Amino acid sequence: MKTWLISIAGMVLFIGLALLLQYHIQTTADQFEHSIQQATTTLNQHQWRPTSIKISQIKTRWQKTKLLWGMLIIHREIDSIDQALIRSAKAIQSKNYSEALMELDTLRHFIQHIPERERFNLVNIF
Amino acid sequence: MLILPVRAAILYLLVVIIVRIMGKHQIGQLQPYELVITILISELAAVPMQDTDIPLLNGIIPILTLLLIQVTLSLISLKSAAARRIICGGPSILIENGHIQQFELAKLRYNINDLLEQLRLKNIPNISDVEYAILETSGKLSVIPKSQKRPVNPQDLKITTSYEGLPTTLIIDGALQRNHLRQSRLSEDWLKNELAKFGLSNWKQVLLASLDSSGKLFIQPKEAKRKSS
Repeated sequence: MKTWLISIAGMVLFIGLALLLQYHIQTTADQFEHSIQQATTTLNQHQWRPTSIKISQIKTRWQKTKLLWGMLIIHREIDSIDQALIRSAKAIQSKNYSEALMELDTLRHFIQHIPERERFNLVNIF
Repeated sequence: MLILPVRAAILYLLVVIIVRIMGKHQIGQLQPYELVITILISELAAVPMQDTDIPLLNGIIPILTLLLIQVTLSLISLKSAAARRIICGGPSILIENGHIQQFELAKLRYNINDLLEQLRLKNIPNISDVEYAILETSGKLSVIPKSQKRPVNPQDLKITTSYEGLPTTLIIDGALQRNHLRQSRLSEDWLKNELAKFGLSNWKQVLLASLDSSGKLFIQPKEAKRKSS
């Protein structure tokens, strides 16, 4: 009986933790998307300085976030975000509007792809 | 995070079902083609289990294909002796009439030390006691000792023995085996009476009860749980 209780408690704890982490990934990804959206808005207005500040803030936040995400998701996804962030920052620095817009959109795609692939649904299971 | 355990559970259940369908051969002595299929199935299940980038169907379809091939090969080898020889190979005689078949050993790349080791595992330390040693298709060595060296049996001593059938289990871990009781043409009332002779009122108190072919009942009651000190 004791073993059963420990097993069930372990399973419930695992499912709870998994749901909590899934929620954390989704909310963090939403926050990043919001920041990227703000950077895109300032970029569309050709305000290079605020866009550069925004991307620096995203970079700093990403450095902290990837410590936890690195333990939960495959490292290829982390590397893709790292690369997209560097390319975005460089494009903004060189004031190349079309390239910066494209890189920011790529960055948004990579970040939103993580909660999508972690979501518990039939597509992801099969 | 929840996807991984669900995928693992699906693949685990699938492999258990597949191994059950493949038959008892698959979990006992494997023929070469069965061994290959077992290795392949474990690999096919393990890779999509850990890599969520691979669709689960990429693991399931090859596993089902292997099941189909295995069942087909089993049926072919069951029906045709020639096919059986090609698919499973044949047994090889390593010792014949007490004489080691040197060329057969060389052909099988089976060295003398391996042969001696296998004989020792069969409780035959002296090779001169062996009449025949046959390497079966499953890779196991069958040993037939010389007639003077084999264990004495009642027939050698001309002793008459009575029939010994299989004992029937009537209660396992407190659960009554009703079908075994029916097969033995016994009733629950009879069992209750027998349990009462051992001071037991209910079969839930019994760990194991079995009846041998001479009608002798073996009963072991469950022990009370020990209190941890």
